[in-house]
Amino acid sequence: MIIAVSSKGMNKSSEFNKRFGRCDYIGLFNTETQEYSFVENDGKNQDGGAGPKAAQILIDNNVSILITGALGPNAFLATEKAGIRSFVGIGEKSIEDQVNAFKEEELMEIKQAKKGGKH
Amino acid sequence: MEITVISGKGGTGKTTIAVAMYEILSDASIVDCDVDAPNVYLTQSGDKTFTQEFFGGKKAEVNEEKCIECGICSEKCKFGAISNGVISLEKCEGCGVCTVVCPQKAISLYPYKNAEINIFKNEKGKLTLPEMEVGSDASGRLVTQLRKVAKSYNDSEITIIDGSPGIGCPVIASVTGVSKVLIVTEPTLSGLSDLKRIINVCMGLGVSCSVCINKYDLNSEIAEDIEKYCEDMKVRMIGVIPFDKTVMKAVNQRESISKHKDSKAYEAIVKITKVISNNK
Amino acid sequence: MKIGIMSGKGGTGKTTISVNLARALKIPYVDCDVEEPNGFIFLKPKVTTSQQVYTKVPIIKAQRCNGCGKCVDFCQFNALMKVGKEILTFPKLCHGCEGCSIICDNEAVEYAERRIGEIEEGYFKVDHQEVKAYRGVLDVGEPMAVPVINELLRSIDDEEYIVVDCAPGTSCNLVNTLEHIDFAVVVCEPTVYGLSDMKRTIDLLRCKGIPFGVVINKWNEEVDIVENFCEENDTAIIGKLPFSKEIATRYSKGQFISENKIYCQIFKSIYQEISNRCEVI
Repeated sequence: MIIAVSSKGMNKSSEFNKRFGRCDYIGLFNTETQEYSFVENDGKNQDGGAGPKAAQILIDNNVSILITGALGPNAFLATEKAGIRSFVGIGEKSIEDQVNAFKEEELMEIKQAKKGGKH
Repeated sequence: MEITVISGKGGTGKTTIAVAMYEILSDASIVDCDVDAPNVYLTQSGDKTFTQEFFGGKKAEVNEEKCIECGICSEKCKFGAISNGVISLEKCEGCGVCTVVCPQKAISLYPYKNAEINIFKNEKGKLTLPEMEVGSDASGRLVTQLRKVAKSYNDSEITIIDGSPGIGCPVIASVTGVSKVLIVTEPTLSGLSDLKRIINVCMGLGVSCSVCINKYDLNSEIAEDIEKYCEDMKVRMIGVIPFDKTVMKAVNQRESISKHKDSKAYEAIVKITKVISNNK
Repeated sequence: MKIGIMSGKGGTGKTTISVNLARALKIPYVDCDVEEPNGFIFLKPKVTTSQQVYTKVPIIKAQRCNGCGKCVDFCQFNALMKVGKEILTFPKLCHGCEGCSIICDNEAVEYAERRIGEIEEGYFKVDHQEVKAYRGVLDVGEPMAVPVINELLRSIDDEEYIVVDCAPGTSCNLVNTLEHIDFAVVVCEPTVYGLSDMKRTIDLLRCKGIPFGVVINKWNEEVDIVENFCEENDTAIIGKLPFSKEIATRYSKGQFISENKIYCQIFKSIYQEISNRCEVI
């Protein structure tokens, strides 16, 4: 499966980004190949609809798990519909640390949208 | 840390205070997101180090040679932006409906430049300032882009964002995701009425806000009402600033109030800046 | 004649001048500053009707939708998104162009209404005479004010004489109001901020060919930056409201200043100036 992590940089030691819709990059970890790849988040500069745009990147990359800080209402709806489960990442750790924390079942699932944005 | 200064009501002293805060802080930059009436440039200047064109959206254009003046585009346009094959740039929202309904395929959309984003540097720090065409829309998108550009080029500890009056999309775009919002209000019934609405907007967005009353001594009764309202809403009252004639004198000399360190208003702004920039 | 009271900068005195002009001359008042309407604080009208303002929001009819995503590709505002075979809608991003329904091959898009604000109509009394008052109020959290402004101005199209209290700034809120204005009163305060923003408003008015005159609010004889600018730029000053603590105090309490005979005369002479200029045109 593919695990996505909202990221500030382009490699696995980059710092985790708590924001989803406006993060700079999305890190993708493939559990089968054990490899990381990174995609730039085009949606971050949009006036509205940044969350859904970022969610589209997850859908296009067959992501099943997302690790981020919180989800706005539009992104929450989109990821829920896409069957993607989301989890809260830990502080300022690296992308790799977040993935490992998920594997160790240390992360809490996101069950609700945060307030915000144009929803 | 990003701190956005907004007001709900116009003319409460947002820009004067935002600029003073920028000058008081030791490591700060400022972004002018009051794109309809940007005034930071009046008291700040520097060398231009960066410029970027901003394409706020798309606009439609008609190929006159192909147009047969059938009027279908005018009928279908929801914004009244086409009449006799002529497009009103201000009303056109770039939705693309005309391009699809035109039987002659005579209409197309093109990216429309309606502003420039410039960064200036002076010995104090960096200023990210817009130059928007008068009558433009897409203010919300411009604010978002201004913030993004400022973020990429600023490495200061604190970024002060000078927001716009009102509660619409440019204001929303200037407060989403910031660490703190400072609402500058004034002790008038209009000020209180507008304050309530802007606090509501901030709460709806889940943004933490603090309030300061500018020119508070002009009407101490209403100033008290404002303090009480904030208490009831559990919104922090961060400070009050007395009316001070020095402020307008300074502004009219195109100087920030921070050049007048003995001004009572300046003293009050220093206190407020210290509290709000604290990392708690 | 429809008079618009506007200023590039907020807080210069648009509402002060609008409500006092309306009261002094017994002309209907319209508050188009729908994001932060304040006129009714002063006029305290009796509100007789209230009407909701709606915008359209697309609804995808699941039975007819085949998930082709043409609507998603078409939408310039990211108000639609395709997830699997389902189309999600994000109402607040929708601009109401109805393009999604036009582009759909399966008639799968319908529109529902979504409330974004309201319009109120009422009257206030001056010397036992009833004078109309109108305003638009945008719901808190709604990003787009223009649909409320347009609805408000459409609803008062029949009124021949009105004083329109405009939104601050020079962007789409004001531009949409200008359609309905015959003469613009540009309110300026004698500060560099006020002057800088006034220039933008004047540029817009010249571009639109709307006749205008400047009223200097909080005027004092020591500072003449606005007068100098107007002289150099062939711009008429049609009134000066002096800075006074009394005016500021009355304003803060939501009271009229035109009750004072001297100020009332200032408003009457502003109106006279406007009438003279409109006759000339």
